[in-house]
Amino acid sequence: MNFNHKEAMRYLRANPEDKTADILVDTVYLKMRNEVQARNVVKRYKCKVDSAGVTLDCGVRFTSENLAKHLQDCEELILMAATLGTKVDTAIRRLALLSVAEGAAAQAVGAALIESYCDEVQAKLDTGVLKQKSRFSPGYGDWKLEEQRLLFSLLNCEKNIGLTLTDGYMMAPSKSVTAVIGLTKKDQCISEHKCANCANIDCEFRDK
Amino acid sequence: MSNIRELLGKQLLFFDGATGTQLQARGLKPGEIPEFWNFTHPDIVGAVHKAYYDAGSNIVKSNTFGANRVKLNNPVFSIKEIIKAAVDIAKKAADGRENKFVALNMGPTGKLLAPYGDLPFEEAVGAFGEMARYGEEAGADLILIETMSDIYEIKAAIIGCKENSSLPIFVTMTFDESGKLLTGGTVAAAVAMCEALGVEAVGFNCGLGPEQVQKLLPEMLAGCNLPIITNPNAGLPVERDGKTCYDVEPDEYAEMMYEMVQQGVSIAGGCCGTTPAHIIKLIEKCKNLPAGGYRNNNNTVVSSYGRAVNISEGPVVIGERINPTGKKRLKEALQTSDLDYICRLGLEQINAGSHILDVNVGTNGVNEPEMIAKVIPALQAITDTPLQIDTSNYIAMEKALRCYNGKPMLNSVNGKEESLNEVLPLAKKYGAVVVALCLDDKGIPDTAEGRIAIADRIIARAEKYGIPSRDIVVDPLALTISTDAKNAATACEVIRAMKARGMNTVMGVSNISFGLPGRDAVNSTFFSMALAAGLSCGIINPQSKAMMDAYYGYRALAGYDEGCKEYVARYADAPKAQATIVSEISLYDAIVKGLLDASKKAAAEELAKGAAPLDIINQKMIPALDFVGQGFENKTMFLPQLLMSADAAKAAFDVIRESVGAGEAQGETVIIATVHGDIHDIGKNIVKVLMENYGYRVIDLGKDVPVETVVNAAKETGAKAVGLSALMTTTVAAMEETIKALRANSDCKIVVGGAVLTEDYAQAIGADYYAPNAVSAVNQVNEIFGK
Repeated sequence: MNFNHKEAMRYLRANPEDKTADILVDTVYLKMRNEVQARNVVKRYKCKVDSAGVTLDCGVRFTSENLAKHLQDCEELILMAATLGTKVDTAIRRLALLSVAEGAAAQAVGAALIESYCDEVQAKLDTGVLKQKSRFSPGYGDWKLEEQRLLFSLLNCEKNIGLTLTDGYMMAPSKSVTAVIGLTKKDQCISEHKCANCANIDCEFRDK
Repeated sequence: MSNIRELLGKQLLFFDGATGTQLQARGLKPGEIPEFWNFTHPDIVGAVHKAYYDAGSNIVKSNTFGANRVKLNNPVFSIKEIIKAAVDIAKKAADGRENKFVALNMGPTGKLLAPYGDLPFEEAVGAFGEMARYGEEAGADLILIETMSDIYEIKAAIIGCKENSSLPIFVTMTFDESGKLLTGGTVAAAVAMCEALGVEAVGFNCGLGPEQVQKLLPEMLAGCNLPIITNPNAGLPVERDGKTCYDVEPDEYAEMMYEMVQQGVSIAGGCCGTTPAHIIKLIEKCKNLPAGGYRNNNNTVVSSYGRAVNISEGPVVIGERINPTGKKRLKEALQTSDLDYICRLGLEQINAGSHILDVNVGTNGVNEPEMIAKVIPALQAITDTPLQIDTSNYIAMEKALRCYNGKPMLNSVNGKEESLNEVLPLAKKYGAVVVALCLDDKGIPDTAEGRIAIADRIIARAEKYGIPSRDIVVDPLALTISTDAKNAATACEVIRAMKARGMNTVMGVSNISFGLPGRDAVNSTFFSMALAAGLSCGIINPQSKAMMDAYYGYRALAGYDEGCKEYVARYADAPKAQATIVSEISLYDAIVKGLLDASKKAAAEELAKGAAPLDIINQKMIPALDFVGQGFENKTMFLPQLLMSADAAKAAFDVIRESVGAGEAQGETVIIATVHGDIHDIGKNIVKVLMENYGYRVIDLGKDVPVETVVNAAKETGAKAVGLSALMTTTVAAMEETIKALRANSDCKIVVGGAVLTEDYAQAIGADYYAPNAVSAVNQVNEIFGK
């Protein structure tokens, strides 16, 4: 799995010029990489999009205007879930116990790794003539986190990749992603502005 | 009708194939709950079972895979009704035929157990236990715990079943191609625990096809002595037109299963994608083969959720330092529930080379059963190094054994009647490797013969409880040579005698030098002697260089270290210990620059100069932290710099604490917690370290903290400030609830923080202060205390 050092630095909120932070991030990456047990599950659906949400051909409906807007020209989509596994969480706790700096760097490295992993999974998907749009996840914009339940049940995340949802709708293991990937005939692709569809414009991680 | 126990391992038995795939083929929709078909389509469910019995299957799995109350938390039908209906259908399909059995099928809850997720262990035990009770009442012949991917959940299921039924228990697990469970456990770790907990067969199901399972089979055959089950999928899943397909055809499937049965499998069947046609071919091909049956591995294995340590493969190091005897700082940590400190002691020993950690938390002013039930999960949340539970308090012993994730080591039982009667049943029930001390009511015999006689008595008694001798590790007891020069020789003689009869041994090595000066010299030499005599486990301080030198030296000399690789890695490849040049730098500068070693050294120097701890904190450390904090707030410094400074200050703080005790270096009390339902705590942990650096006594209640716990802590301590963290929109409600309850019970000020909060949001839920980051949290608390 590719490790995007630059992204990890960004998640850590480090000064990109900071050599000490560079070393911190690399040290932590070396301590973590053997703990990664990455897994994913994807499923493709036909869908109908209206102004308030999207309905899959299996009958399940996601309600979110932002999601609907994101998917407006899509007749098909892919549901995806991916995780780095429980041992990464254990490693993050372990590193944080001895050093808060390493703990925070471990969070950042974990976040960068799961994003890279999702990119790699997406790159390997064969979608024929259709292009993939960027990932859109529960919790983005007005898409309620509670709808994670629907995604989890369709992908059977627990059984397939060991990803579970807590009563508070958090994912355990924590370094995990679930997302909808719209498929479109239009000539746009993954490289579109990652954060363009998110309503949280004050987010400190927002891509400029 | 015969009992399945009479056939198990003696003749090859056959499971059924997939139920889910078969029901889907007959109209079960995605998302529909298969267990409800026991009521809506009992004929179809029955027909699927009957087809398998007709194909020749001996065991059919009841349609109850997801019928646990965690997963089906608001069922239209009760769990009891579902299980009754399902078992009835399967029994009817068997139609009284000879050697046809019904397995009560139990799948996972779909939740990760705490501390890794949010399902409490006892809730899982309860959910599985209830299923077992209803299943036995309904007339199931055995219980199949299947498709498991987490060792801790398997333990909960087995304990639940054992406490609620007397049915035989089979366990099959889902591994990936590298031989790991979804939660990272290895085949060896999983089966060691299952066997010790008393299940009657173990094996593989789902996830993989026969080809992949075959590659993992040798590890399972070597890892336990139980009959092995293989229920693979009909190959790896392939997505086709939005459908999951399995491509291995019946003939090919039977061919591959045949090879596995020859390798030692006792029960063969199938999982996803297999059909009655697969089972027919399987039986045609294999019917004349004998069952693999039981094996006779004599390994002593302890395990955690992640890995197994095989003590029979060569001597191992058990870290002794989590034991408060004579350790002031650890006593304080236990008295104040400072779990982080205890976990750090564990990590230091693991980094120094421990294979197992001894855990003893008994000290004055500590409720040992409560404390050990906190410390064990806290350690297992950060490491997969197996633990040795060390206590003479039977209540604490059971609590620890119960919550332990894996197959633990238990220290200890001895030859006294009371000890035998109390400890052995617990060791059996929770599947532990037990340390047997060579002493009894008359004390410790002077002679090796006397001690060996006690060991033999304990081994015989354990056998009566069903504990095999391989799960007993004998402690010959090292008594100090300062009272009797023969003590070392006696201990070594016991070790040699045990080794000669294939028994493993364990010993607290450093007792040998009690009362002597320069103990390391005697200890390490004695350790070498004991290893040469055949000692299997040394309970030692792994941070003692002399002891680890003896250990690695012995391994190289005794042929345990092939090509001296470990030895060379430790002594030649290790980076040359450069005389760490810590330039003369002030404590203030060391903290500002985030230099750990320099900070420790400067703090020690300040103390040596006679500076008062509080002066060091207030005049050197806090100004440095203020400088960095302001830099962070003004955005001239970035988060990593802030955190490295915090680490450096903490290191200095630890130096001060070690020398003067925690109490004298701590000020006002602040409570912090991540609210109920929220399991992310990195932000809270950063706040904790910063606050401690500012001298606060921080009571960290952890994550996912119930409202009452926060309120009780506030009432008990009278803390004036409480910090709450919540990361998600879904958990802010719990934060609001906590604030309300605090208001009703305490006059503390409340600071809140977390990714989704804003100033307005914080006000709306009734908080006093909003802290957008860790520095701000400290500033708000300083304000509360008028600093």
